[in-house]
Amino acid sequence: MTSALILDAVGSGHAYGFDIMEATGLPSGTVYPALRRLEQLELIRSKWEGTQKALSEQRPARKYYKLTSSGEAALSKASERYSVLQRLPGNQR
Amino acid sequence: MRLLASFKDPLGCSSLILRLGAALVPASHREEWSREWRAEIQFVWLALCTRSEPQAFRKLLAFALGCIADAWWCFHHAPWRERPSERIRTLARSAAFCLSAGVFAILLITCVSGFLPSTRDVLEPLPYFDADRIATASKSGVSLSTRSGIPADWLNLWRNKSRLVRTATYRWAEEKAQLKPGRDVSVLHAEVSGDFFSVLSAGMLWGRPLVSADATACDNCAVVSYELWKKYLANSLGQRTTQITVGGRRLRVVGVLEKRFWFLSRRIGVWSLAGSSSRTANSGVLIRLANGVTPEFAEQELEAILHDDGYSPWESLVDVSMLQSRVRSVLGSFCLALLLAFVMTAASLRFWSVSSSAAEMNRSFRNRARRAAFFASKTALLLTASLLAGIEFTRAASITMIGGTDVLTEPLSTWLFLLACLGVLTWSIYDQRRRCPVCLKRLGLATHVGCSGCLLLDWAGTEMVCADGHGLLHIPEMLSSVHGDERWTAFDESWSGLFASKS
Repeated sequence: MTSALILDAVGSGHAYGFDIMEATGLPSGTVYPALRRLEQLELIRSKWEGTQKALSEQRPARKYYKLTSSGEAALSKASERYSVLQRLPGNQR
Repeated sequence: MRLLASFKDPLGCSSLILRLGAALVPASHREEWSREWRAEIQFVWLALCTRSEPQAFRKLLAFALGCIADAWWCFHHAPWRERPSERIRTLARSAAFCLSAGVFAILLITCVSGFLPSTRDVLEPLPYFDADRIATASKSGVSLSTRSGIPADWLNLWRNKSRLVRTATYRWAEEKAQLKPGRDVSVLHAEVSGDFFSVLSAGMLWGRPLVSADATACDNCAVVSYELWKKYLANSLGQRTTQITVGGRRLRVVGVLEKRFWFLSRRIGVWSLAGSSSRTANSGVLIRLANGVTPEFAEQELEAILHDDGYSPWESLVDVSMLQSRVRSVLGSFCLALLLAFVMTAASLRFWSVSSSAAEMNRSFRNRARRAAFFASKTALLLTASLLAGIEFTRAASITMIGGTDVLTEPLSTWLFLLACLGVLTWSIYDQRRRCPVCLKRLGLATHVGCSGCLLLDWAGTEMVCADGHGLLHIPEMLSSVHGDERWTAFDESWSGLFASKS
């Protein structure tokens, strides 16, 4: 369920760790290991933000996560299984 | 102070937690992991401050503590996790580990032997006044094996007629002794002439040495070594008349020899005057040469005295050997064994032609010097360890009553030295040939390639790869004029992607 929540958050455009934490309400000790596991399963992929952009906003560069095609397929399966995902605030599209 | 200050600063405190977590993350991914967490922590702090959230410090710490769980996950579940056994294997391949193992072996021998007492005896000057004038004499035959003690009548002649040397006698045997009531131990007991300690000029820790006058005044007087005194008699030192029984003889201890004192063997514990029965037997002879007299001069004089008394030249061959050089002869045995081992190893292995390709690849002087220094250090450490073990654990430094090394231990220690030197050199060269010529790590991932029974003139053997991707060592199964000896193939930049995760 945690993985499904995080996949859903990433799929909804929450692209970095703290953003995903806020979207899901999960603590950092849960979110980051889950992100590693999902990346290892190739359901999400990560990419470092360009330094120039981060410098212009006066903060360090972030690592952004994005769903892969197999991640999208896994998310749609999870949404069918866990109907609660549809009712999350970010998913009322 | 800086540490205390960081506890007050939220970002400093988070940074400390981050460092703790980073220790768990495998080294190859630590930098990226830390970078991500640093960025997240800074952003979280910024967000908390912007929103003016209550208890921002506590919330930031709670967030930062999540990095420990993340690091633990990385340690346990990541596919690139370096397991402890793999870490140990990687460490064991490094050149530093090899050298550390050599140092550890030397330290172990030092501790087990009690800080190298025998080696110190060999290297330090003997503990007598003018020790370089002390020698032993023995009746010599046509070969070393026919050496024996000196007959009592020869000794009387020398005492009366020699002008170049002063002599004293000694002999020893292992005997049962009662040093404490109801406790029998086995000790080496030396019986010496009354002038033995004055010829030797030995120092005392306590009491007095044996003197010539004791032959009539106190023929049951004895002195004991420091080790024996410390082990058995130290508590009874206050008593004026410490009595011990050695070989059935009741002896009165009148002195303790100084701590450094030893003569021929450290195991000799009790020194007493020779009994009347042993005064006529053959014994070892201690000689103090007069100033400027060489052992050869002394031999000539002693033989001349015997000839003058009617002994035939064949019966009266005398061997005088300097005690200091006899004690240090163990080093000579080691050097001889080392030389022999070098010759034998160089003959049996193609020592210097490790790999012509490797030599071509390593043209830089610095790289070759590094390899040579590693080989020299490794070999020197292991040879030192084998020398120390040989001296400490085989009693190779002990000398027999007739001035030679112990009949059993001399060949044994020489053979042990030879075997140890051969073993060390062979292994050292073998190890060097199985190391990457660039990073000096042991090669791994051995793969057998080809089949010598089925392929005509094709290559069959084993290939070993450097874990850091510097190259590949080909070890042929059979030497042939076509394929030659072991060959090193250096990898170019195009291979680096394969080894990226290891570097």
